[in-house]
Amino acid sequence: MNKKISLLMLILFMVCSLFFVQNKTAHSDESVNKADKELSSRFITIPEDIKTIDRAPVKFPHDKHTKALDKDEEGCELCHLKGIDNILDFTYPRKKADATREAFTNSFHNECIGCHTEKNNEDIKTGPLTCGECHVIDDDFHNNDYLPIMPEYYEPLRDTYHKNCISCHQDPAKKAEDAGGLDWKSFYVKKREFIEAEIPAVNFDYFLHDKHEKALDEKCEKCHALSEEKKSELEKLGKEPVCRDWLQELPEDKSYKIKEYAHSVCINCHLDKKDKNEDGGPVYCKECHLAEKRTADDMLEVKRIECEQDEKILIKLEKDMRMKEVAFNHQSHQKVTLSCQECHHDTIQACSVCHTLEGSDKGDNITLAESYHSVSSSWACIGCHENEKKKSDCAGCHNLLDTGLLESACETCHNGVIEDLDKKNPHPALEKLFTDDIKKEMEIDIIQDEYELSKFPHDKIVAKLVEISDNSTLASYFHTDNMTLCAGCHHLTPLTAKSSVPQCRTCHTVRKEPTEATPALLGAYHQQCLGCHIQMGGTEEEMPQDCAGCHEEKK
Amino acid sequence: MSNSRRTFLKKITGAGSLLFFGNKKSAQANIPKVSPDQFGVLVDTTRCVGCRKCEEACNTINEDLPRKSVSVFKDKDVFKERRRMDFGTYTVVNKYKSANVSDKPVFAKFQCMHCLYPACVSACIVGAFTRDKDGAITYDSWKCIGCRYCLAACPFQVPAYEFSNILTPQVRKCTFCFDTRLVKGQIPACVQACPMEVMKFGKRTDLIKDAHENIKKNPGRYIPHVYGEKEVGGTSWMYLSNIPFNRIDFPKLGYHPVPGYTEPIQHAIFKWLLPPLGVYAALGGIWFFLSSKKKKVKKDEENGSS
Repeated sequence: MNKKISLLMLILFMVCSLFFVQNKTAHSDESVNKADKELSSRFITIPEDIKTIDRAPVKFPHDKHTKALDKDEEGCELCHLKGIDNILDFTYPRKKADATREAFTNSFHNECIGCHTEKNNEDIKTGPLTCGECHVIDDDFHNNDYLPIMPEYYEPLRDTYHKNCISCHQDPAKKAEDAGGLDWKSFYVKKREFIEAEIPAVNFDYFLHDKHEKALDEKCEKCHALSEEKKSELEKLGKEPVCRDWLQELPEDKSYKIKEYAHSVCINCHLDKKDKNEDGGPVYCKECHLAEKRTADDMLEVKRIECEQDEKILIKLEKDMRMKEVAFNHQSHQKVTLSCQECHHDTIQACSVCHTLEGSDKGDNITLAESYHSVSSSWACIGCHENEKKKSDCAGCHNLLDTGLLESACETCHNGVIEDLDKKNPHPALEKLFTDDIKKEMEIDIIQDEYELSKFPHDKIVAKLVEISDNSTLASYFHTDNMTLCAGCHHLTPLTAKSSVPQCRTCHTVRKEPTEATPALLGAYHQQCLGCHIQMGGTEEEMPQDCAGCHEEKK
Repeated sequence: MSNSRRTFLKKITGAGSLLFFGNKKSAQANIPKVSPDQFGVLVDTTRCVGCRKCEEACNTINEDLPRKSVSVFKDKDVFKERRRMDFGTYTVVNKYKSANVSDKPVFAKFQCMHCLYPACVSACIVGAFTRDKDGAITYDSWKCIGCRYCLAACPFQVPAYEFSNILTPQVRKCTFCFDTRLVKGQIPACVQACPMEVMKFGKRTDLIKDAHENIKKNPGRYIPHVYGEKEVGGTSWMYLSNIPFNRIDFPKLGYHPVPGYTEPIQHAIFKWLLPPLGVYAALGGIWFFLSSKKKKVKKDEENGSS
């Protein structure tokens, strides 16, 4: 009997210890993974004509390599070719051949495995040597199988129209009428350029530009490659060279992509400074490819880039102008953007250079009118303003109002008077707004059987709206009338009837008719009040979203 | 292996039905036409705030349901997990993550969709489910034999069965408040109770028009799709959403009515009871043939032996 019990104990102990060991290994694995993730890694891009490879794509940890080579004091040259003038060429592999599938594969295998083998033979700690160690099928691979490849400056928050690709691009192409019959898989995974989320694009914002300007003593030519020909061309015209369009001046002998060119310019300069023991810029991926972007509020104090043009201009056509010109304040728009690229795409030029009146291939066949008025594009004036209205400060009112191009709004922009830009529309003091016949606080009593009266602080709400509107340049320009703010809640009436406003229950009846389109009083109150509270997302005390926050329950 | 067997059987039954009685077209004519005046409800999920007043109203009006106190419906912790309807609830509200983490969560109410071509009605062998011309699909517990074919047939998995009741179990699902309110000219209790007017009751054709107008008028606010307009041939309850419908647990379904797949075959096979009779006749013939042959052999044997 005793023997049996001791045997049982032994087995129990063994099982327990097994669990313990397993748990321990699992934990250590996690920590390794975490450390790996902090080092930025990205999938190696496969050329389009090769399409797929036999094994899982390789996720390449660049910073891990940089750090390891830094330790061994073997700089970047081990992997990247050093060309003439000691300029590093940041392409990999050094002898890249993507003409055929085999050549492409070999060019990577030769250099990666070659180096790893060499180091291994010298008994130095090095990377993997077998296939499966590089071609890993892990969670990331599965998760990001159909990661969309978006344009370079794509931002899901701004470009709301493109947020839900699948809603139009169905699988497999549903019908021709749905999204032009596009099959979303071919649309999504065409290139598999892989996980930009790991390494987000560098946003060269005003802050970075200002920092570089100061560090480089305002020597623009260090970054902006200005060819001699163009310089002399400008000199003939008697103009100082202006540092713009540096991306247009790509070296002609190399078929660089923008990304490669940027790496070549930035990192070479940073490395150069580092060699000279000067204060240079970052070398590791994640130091430039920041996960979080600076906001316009972070850069309030940062000097904006000087432009050739006036602060305020009238946007007009050279011929055939039918509407009045649009007064435009360039400086105030610079204040609220992160970089010039937010409006100007890759090149700093006037919109009409690419977006011609009739549309041209250069401007993706988007006409000039569209480029200003498109509701769905954040590049366009209207589209961008539309997105501003979705921000929490504005969405409270604007969420229930009609969106898009309103007929009544044409004249607000097309007024042809440049002086109007200075004309802000501050609201009068509250004491003047609240004349005798407007109540400061009201009581709403429509659901008295279940809840207590709800007290409605009319004056506080107006004060908050006035504060928001007056603090925003955009809002104070477009909220032209004193009554505009009132229209956020008292829709339709205050703009037309300039006197006092009818009661809600004049239109929104208490009794709910079965097929009535207008919300009943209960619905109207809740949609207006609660809808605004949710959109503005304030604190529970300030903007209650719970039932009891507005009307206490009856006991 | 089993797959090929299944497809083989499918082909055989399909070919058989076609051989016997006409083509698909005539079979489809069996599906009744839907009245353009029938009622429906349009649910705008972007408005829902998850107050659960609809659940409360539903429990109050439907007195067969197990009674729950009002405080039950004030509990917001239920949103932690995804709920389904059971025999005690006709409708549930669930909370879903929105497309962006920073956006507000999405709430969606779910109940019987009251299909225009209901699979439960088609599957019920005793006719316990009936579809009213105004759109409601109602249930008669006296006819029900508890086979639960409706549970299997429903493309939205709505009907629930009262498993805990041993003696008189019932199938339970939303009634569209047909007996309690619609017949009196009132709108469904949940629609009436909603403080945000998420739901809109009206003629189905008007609601579809409204929904498309809403989508058009507010670019970017909705996904350009009215769920239920065409799904499984159309449903009386229709939905608008700002995130893809599969993310708020609405299955991706075809536009063809579900009974449209099964009824042609079923009706063809059992039309006038001819095929079963034919099979029995054939079997009888074979039996007769074999037995007569046996008799002959026996006779021959007897003759031979004698």
